[in-house]
Amino acid sequence: MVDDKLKKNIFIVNFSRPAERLIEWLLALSASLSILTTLTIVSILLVESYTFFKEVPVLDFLFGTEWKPLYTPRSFGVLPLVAGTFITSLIACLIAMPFGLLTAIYLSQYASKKIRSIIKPLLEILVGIPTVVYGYFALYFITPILKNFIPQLNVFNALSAGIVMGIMIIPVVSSISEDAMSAVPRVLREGAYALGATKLEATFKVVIPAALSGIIASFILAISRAFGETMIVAMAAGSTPVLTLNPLQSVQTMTGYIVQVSLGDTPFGSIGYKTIFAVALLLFLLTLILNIIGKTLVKWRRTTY
Amino acid sequence: MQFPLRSSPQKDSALKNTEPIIKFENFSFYYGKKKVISDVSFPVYKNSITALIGPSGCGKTTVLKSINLLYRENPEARAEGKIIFEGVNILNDKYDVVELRKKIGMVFQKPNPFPGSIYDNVVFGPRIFGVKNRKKLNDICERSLKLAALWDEVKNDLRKSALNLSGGQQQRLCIARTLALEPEVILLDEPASALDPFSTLKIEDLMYQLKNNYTILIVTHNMQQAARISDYVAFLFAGEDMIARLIEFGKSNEVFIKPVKKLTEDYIVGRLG
Amino acid sequence: MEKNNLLVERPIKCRIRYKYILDKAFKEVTLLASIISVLILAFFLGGIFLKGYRWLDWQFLTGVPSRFPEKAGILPALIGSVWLVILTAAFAIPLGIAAAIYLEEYSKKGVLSDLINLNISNLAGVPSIIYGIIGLAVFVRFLAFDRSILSGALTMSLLILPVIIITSQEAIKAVPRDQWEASLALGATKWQTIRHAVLPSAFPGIITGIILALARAIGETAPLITIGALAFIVNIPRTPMDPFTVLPIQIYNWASRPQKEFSEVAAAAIIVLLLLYLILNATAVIFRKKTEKRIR
Repeated sequence: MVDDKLKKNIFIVNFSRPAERLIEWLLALSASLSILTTLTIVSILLVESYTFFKEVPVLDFLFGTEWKPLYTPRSFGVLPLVAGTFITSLIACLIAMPFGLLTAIYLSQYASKKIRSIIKPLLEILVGIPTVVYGYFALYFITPILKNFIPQLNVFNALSAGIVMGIMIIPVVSSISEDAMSAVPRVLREGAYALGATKLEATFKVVIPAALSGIIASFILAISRAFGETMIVAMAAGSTPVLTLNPLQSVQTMTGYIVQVSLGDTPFGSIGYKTIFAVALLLFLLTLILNIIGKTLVKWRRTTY
Repeated sequence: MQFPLRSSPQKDSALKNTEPIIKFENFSFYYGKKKVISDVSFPVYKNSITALIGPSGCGKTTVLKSINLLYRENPEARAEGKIIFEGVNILNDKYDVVELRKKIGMVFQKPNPFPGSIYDNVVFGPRIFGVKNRKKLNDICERSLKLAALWDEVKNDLRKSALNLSGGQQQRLCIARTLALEPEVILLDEPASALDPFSTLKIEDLMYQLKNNYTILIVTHNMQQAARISDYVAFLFAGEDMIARLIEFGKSNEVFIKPVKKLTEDYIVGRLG
Repeated sequence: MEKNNLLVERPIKCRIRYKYILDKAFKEVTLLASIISVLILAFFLGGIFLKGYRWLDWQFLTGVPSRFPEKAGILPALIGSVWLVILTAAFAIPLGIAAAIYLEEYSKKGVLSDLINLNISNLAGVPSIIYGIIGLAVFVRFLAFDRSILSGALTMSLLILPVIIITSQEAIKAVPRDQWEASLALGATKWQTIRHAVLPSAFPGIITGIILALARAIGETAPLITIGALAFIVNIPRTPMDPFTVLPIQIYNWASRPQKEFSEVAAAAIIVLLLLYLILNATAVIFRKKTEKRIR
């Protein structure tokens, strides 16, 4: 069925064959831009890091426990930044995983269509709110509230940054987990119901085990998201690179450090400037590995059912 | 422990028992506003095999899912009329759903083993009804698998994933899973349609043995199968209005040999659907 | 006829009642978990509104940043954000749609297109600050666009391109193909067919994806900090080569100051930013509703 409008258009716009070929080339060029982007990211991170690692041995960087790159005496042990990233992400995951999973269970098992159509867009809005707003929440709302209960809490601390980051990534966990749980074949649920299982029992004994790879994938992708999150930690977690897992202290994450250098007046080409590329390379590799594992798990689930 | 011996293929042996365990009375079914089944009434006799036959899409599976109230998982679905079980109309909320499903087991068209081991699958039902005792669970597992004629094939692999079994084995596992709850009635929804002929024979064999102790209601597309195994047969048919009605119900050896209705005859000899 | 009744009848009745209670309770727990994040957020948004609304006036919207909170305004940041979004859209939309068309309609399904798709989905997961670092190295330094709107928009384009490509691909995939062969049979070329038989139907879906991507661009902060978008700009940017700041960076800057008044000014700026974000989201929702209707 072709409508008249379509017919008319086809005769008016009559490209010649070379033009057709040109269009295809232009489209292909646009698609290959993504490959170019990846190559640029990798090569720049590698090249700049290479010049950095010519001055600082890789092992000193990876396993050093002191991070003082801007003032002499300098030291370039990245572990304090990794610890900062780890502790804030851990707190975020402790919030996001249970709440995200429970949300996914509610949406896929209990909620009526109507309620689902209200809650899902709300969660989508939640995950898209500019992170600088979340940073503001952490600094001006969560920290003061927490301080009532924990007097020794630092103004900048990993705890409130982690909590707010957790709230932000709940939808990451819930949407991927919900997809996985909704994809569990209906006959499997019905099989459980037919044996007298309640929804609760069917969920925990059948649906969750069957959707496990997707749920784990949602966790991994959430961790990756937490690792790369920047503004919340830059605003609320502080800028003290210390090797600690104490959530009440001020810490600095990998992303927070990059922001700190960017705001300062570190000259181009200096060793301090190069550190951000080395840190960025580490962050890139960590998130890349997590993303690949997560996406493979999501796909694997799709092929098993 | 006593296991049912294989019964003789003499069909009439079970027919002596004419006490209905389930009775459909003026049963109708709706999806949203659309009526799909109209005014169906027939009995299901104890310790016999009743076959539901009819072209696809005529609501046979819906009838099965009404007996264990599984249709209620779909908020659009609604049933009217009566299904009498143990003297109670189960459609009007009097009967507890979970208790009902414990007494009326169901085996689905496609084998649907749960993720997990063979053992976990078999004792799924007993476990959710609170049986924790290891010994008891082991006994239930062994007994159910033996009843389902699967024990010899899997007794050394109970801890292995149920998903590694063949299709026929999976379906017998699903039957074992149902038997583990010691139901009164077993509903089978085309249990052999996804299986090879050999596995089909095994399942049919199994049904023969089970009917001594259980009441079986089976949906099937396969006329030979229905004729081979059933004691009673109910023929459902949806006319041009797409609403299914019960055309004929009777003893299998009568319906298959000399059906009363022309429509039934046409369907049995393959002139319909 | 006797069965081995391994399941004892009596305790089962209690057990069933217990099961129901547990099931009901769990349903409420999951419901609570689903809405709690939304509730917390609503609570915070209310708090931000209370903190900032007093500062929202004409002077605030049209003023420039100042050392004195009562004189501070967001005009340069607002204009900077608008510049940035428009330029980003100009770069990313054509490229994104073109790439999606190529991947869905032209590229032979095979290793190469799998590789490109995998690559795009990985790019979508790269932390935004990494894009900032690439922008710094490529646009600010190597191409010497300096800390201009152009550098910012190019960086932001790279960041949102994967999102636009992925959503456009999905929209194109969802177009029913009944017009496809008819159009080719009329002698239309492949591109004409795509242009007139595929793209119009995919359009609402593509627009939805684009708006959501732009909503992300308007809120992104980290990559712009990295490329050096300055926080203290009193001049309104007039060309793409001017230095600039954006609303989120202005908020970050004010929020980082110790004075209480500046935190309130930041709250007022957040209200403006969230309004922009919500307007974009609402538009996207409207377009999505349209798509859903059309598919039905």
